[in-house]
Amino acid sequence: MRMRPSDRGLALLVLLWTLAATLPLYLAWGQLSLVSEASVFDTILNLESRFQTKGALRFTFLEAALSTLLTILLGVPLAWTLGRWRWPARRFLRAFFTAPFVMPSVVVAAGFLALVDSDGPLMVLGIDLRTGTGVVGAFSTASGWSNSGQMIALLLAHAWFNLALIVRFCEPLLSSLDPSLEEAARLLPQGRSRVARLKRLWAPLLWPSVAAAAVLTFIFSFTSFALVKSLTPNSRNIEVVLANQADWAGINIASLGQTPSEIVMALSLIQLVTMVAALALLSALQAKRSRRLPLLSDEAALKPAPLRTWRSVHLALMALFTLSPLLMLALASFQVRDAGGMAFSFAGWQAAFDGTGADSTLSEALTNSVKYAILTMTVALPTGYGLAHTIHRLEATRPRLASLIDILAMLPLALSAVMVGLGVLIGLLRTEPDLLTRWWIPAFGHIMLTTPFVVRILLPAIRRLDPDLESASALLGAGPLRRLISIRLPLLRGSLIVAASFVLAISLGEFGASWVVVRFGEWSTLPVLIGERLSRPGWDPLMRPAAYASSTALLFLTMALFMAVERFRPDGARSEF
Amino acid sequence: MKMKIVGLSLMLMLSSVAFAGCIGSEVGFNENDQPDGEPTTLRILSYDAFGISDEMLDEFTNQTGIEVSLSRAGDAGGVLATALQTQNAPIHDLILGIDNSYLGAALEAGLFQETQNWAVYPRLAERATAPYDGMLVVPFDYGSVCINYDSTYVDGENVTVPESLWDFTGENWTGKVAVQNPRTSSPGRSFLIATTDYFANDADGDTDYADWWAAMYANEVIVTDGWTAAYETHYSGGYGQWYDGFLGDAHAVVSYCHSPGVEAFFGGNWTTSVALDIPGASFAQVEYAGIPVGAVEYIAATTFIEWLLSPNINSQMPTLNYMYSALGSDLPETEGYRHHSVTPTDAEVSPAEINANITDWLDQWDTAMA
Repeated sequence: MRMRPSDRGLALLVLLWTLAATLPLYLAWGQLSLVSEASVFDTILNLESRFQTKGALRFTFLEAALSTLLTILLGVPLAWTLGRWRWPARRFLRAFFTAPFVMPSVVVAAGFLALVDSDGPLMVLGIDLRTGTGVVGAFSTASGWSNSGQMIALLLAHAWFNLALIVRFCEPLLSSLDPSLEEAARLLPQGRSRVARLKRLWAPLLWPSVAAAAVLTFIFSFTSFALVKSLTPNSRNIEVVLANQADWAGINIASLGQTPSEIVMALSLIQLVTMVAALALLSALQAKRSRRLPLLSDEAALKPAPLRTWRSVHLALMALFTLSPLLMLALASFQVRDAGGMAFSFAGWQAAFDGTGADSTLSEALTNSVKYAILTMTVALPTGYGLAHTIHRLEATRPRLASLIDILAMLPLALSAVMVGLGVLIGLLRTEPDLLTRWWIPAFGHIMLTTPFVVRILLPAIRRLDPDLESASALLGAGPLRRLISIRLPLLRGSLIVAASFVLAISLGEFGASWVVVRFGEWSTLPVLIGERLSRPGWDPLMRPAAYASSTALLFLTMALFMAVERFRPDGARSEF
Repeated sequence: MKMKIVGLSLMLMLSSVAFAGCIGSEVGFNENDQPDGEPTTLRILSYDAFGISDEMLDEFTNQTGIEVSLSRAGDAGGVLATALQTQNAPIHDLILGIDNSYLGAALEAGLFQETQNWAVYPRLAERATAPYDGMLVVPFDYGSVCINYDSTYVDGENVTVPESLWDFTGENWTGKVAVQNPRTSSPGRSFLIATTDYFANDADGDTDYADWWAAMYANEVIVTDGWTAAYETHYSGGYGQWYDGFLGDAHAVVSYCHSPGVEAFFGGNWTTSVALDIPGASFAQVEYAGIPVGAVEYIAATTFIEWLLSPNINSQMPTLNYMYSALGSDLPETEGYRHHSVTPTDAEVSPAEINANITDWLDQWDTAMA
């Protein structure tokens, strides 16, 4: 069979993407094997007899599983409450509950620390998730689970981030399913009670969406870094251990030892296998989600808002949960240490804008962030479109290949930043060392991390396009470009705008330090500036408040961007994100 | 039609590259191969916390006409790792912040070339040249790593000031000492080195550092990955008490012998933190500037070292970088900085000894702590 030029182009795109996603891994693996002496399996067997790796495996799987569970427990009721009634400012609420997902975790970690601090609001309620006194301490003692409070704080933070996934995956179905379906169920003997309808109607409809969101939550909790570091200071997950060993991995000098390389090889292998399995599961679940269902437009399916019931209380509580770490962080930026106490002051903001004690000012870093974000968007959107389009075309004829490309498209989200960083470094060093000093190199990392989201957003939208529309216009003589411009792009407009906002928001908040081992002052983005301020000793009373001020600016900027594009989001049961 | 899509994608990609070019020139990162007449750009690599300010770098540029491009790579270990990874094709002209605990590895790898800063050497303090006095690197600051304790806990009655590191294995200190993981933190690494020497030279010939660390592990010592987590989050005697997430469960922490001085300096001459002065239980960390083999701007790098070690600039190290000036001037008297700092008798371990033994020490430590 002869390939059409267009197919060749798409094949080239898939090939390039596959190379970009897997070549760094291959290079890193090669370099690590060169340095390591022990076999991977020996290292895995010895993980528990070394301080560096002890307990990391168990902790990673435990925190990821429990985070997923808590996210479902908090997320499904929220999606139900949000999705089934015609709340005032529904779109605003939906955007608001989704925004945390794109927030930079290094910043949110600081907000959660403020929340659980011994002077924080949770302490007022007698809940100590930091030092573990009172009720939490009693629970720790009774259950024999040391530092249970810190673990709960971590689980809550992971749930805070990933609630958005459940809402995004379930809410559109809940809000647009034809109500006559439930009315019909009510009349049947098997659907008379609420529980029976839940069991026989809603559960079968919702579970693929919940499961898909849960798998993603598991992936993000598994590879979580900044939150684990701050909220559970006595435990390390795999990603933290990998980052710890990253400096010395792959350097072949006797006095630096082989241990770091061996640890990175063993743990990244375990992580890779787990993540690829999770992505394969996700791909299978996504296919289940695309069944055809009788749907109505948003408003038609909804009941009037139950304003004076406990449902509004539920919604208000969840809003408070979403807002509280952000507010706490903003408050902390105005607290400056002054002669044995903390005083309200604008000095932290002043220092952030003046660049005191850092390599760049808030505005310089923000400008750089915006430049990287725009560059990232320009490349990630077409790349993501090309990948989504390829997956869609192959779904009917070669489903296995489609599923493979789907997994490859998602791979960068699941890989350890350490392995990728090492691979990119080695790859660049071997081919073109000067490239390391090019300012746009960090954008490569941003592109790899944001394109999977573009695919996830555009793929369902492309699946929804009516194929008859295109064949009709082709029949009427419209050329390919004409069809793209006057049919495809307008129909995909909403999804494209949403994808763009995701890319911008994630790129703005991307720390990306691991992608480029060395960072140049002139390139400092806002998250890098924040990381730099947080890594310096905090003796200077302005150092932390300036970091919190920069963080607050970043958080509210991201939130605003997200809210602004919500009205472009298309309705429909199969949208993802 | 799909061809057009691909064409369009390619066009977008190409235009983004062109767009990249515009930003690139705006960001103004200087390339090596500049035409003559353009100002020289010195590419410096340092660690995140190195406290040199933009204003000072501007001052340097004004004085010398040399532009500075500063890049950061984590901590001292990250700096060495980056320098080694790029050794065959250096992207920096000057490396700031490799300390004497890493110097042996850097020298073994042949990372540095000799500097021409002859004039600087006679001015250096003895403590700065003690570990290494060759010409491959120039020390620019130093400070000793030792245990700090909270004097509100060590009240002299219920808990007395420890006289030996063994005291920390007693029940007064169960779960109340915070140290850093020596594989991930340079103060942690310095302190591990100090303990190897301390226990090799103590009166007791039967036990060594590995036994002490095993006893510390049994006594629930808190181990963090970095200095900030140990000092800011766990230590009850430091500035961490003012910030969110403070735990305060450790009343002793590994930090610098002048950290209480820094506390006082920023705390209005008030601190409860005291540096523990046990002979041989501290390690003098000396930080170096070095020019890597293959550096493009050798003369500019030499000029920068000269400037960094000029009395005017180097005397600011205690307030800029929280370390002693390599020129030997004392800590400032301001707000009790000097008064609260201790000059200890340090363990004596040479860079060569460290280089020969460190993998073994680290492996022993890993096993003792598991």
